[in-house]
Amino acid sequence: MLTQVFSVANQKGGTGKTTLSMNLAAGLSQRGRTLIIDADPQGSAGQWAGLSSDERPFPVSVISISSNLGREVSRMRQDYQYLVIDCPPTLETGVAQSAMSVSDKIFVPVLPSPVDLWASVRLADAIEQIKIYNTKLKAYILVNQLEPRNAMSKGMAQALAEFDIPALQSGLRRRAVYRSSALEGMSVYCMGKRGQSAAQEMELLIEEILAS
Amino acid sequence: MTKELGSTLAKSVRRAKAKQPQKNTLDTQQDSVSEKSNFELPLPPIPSRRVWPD
Repeated sequence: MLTQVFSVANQKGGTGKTTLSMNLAAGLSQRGRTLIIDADPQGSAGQWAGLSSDERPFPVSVISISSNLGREVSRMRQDYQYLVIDCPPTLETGVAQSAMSVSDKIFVPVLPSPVDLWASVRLADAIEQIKIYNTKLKAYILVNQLEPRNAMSKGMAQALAEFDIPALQSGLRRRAVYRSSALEGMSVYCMGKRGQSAAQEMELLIEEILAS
Repeated sequence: MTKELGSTLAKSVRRAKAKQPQKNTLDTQQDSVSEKSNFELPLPPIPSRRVWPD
């Protein structure tokens, strides 16, 4: 089994790392056995899944790991087709770097705001250094919480061209259902009509990710 | 207006990049990793176990 390891990382908080990790994993679980690794000490991924009901459990298991990440990921490669690592919002502890060093692809969610763009500059540098010894690593920026009519969202393409990391064509729009799905311990895939548009954009994103 | 905003955003990213220190904290040398760091080099993948039918 050729396992793919995906990390969702950004040292800035509030960019939607956990929301992306959970929904990405939910979508991937429809394609193959998937596990979420919660590498963030805040434990948001675990809390999210913990809110699901016994009748409708979250479709992907979440395990919390903050040390020996490399060893654990190597071990889990045997059992899963997809591993999604939700990284902590810091580069100071080395956990995010450990995750990136064992990943095939990194996704950096960025909000359409100047502060988020500036904060991502340092992560882009960190990724370049990890690539020196994880030569297969691919990294992509993902614009999250897009508001198509907002001028800042429209201006993002020009700013993203300044990064050495390419941006994915698919972005995720700002939708209330992403927040409400967390509250119900579900993914947007299980939110019925309310989650339909979000699930559709997640599917487009996953197809692009798997083809990249 | 969008074009102008995009170009201002792009300029601000260039400025942020220019302000980045030449070398950041990701040096893999042991003595440069902070005490709190859990950074570890990746292990080679473990070959998958063969499962035999009963």
